[in-house]
Amino acid sequence: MARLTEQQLREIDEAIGDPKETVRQLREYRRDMEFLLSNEDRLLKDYPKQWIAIYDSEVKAAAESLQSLLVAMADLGLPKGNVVVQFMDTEQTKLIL
Amino acid sequence: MLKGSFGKASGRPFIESKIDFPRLQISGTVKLLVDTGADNCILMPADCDMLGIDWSQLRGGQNVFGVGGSSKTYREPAVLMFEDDDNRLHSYSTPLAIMAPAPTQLPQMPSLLGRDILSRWKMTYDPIFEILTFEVHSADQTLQP
Repeated sequence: MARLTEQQLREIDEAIGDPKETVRQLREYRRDMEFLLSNEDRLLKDYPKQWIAIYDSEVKAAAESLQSLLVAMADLGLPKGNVVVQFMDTEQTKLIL
Repeated sequence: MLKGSFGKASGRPFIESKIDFPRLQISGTVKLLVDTGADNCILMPADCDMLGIDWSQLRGGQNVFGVGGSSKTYREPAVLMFEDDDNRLHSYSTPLAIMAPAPTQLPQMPSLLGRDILSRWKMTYDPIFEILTFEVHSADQTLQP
């Protein structure tokens, strides 16, 4: 495993910033993921083939395209990068990656 | 130990990570599909748009290959952060591949957690009992906030 450069070490420190704040953001996101997983059946029925934005354990916005959803999220003032965004795929598209 | 989760309908294994792009001064949390077949982590266009990444700022176009053929990617220095159940924050500095948008792509393609990070963990994958855990063998930095 390659040793990190001074710059990479500095970037890690800067990325973490306030570690308590980073942990708080991760926990909030995980809580919203848990909301998505535990309500997935209902959300698939309520928002078929739509993109949804989950924040604070609620669906805050839904749209037929990701770009429309991002506009709606901006209008609502949701914090970019800390919202669970999910396409409700009623066709359960198979992925081979 | 890090904990992931399984999609209820899809059964796909995911883990959340906060990703920071120092050069772009952008950060945010994304869910990553755990993919032991991927050599490297890769961020898909939907997550890039969600994070507000400006495509014109990206550099280093390179082709990567998957079952569907080749795709253009950019490479961007990034820091990926994960929280374990002892409240420790494990961080990794890695050049993250960013998939360029293409008309044939499914917009809902998930971003991938590849072996550049998975090879530094021991994974327990047990979908029957919904257990997806990772023991961290090494990290570039581990902090206890």
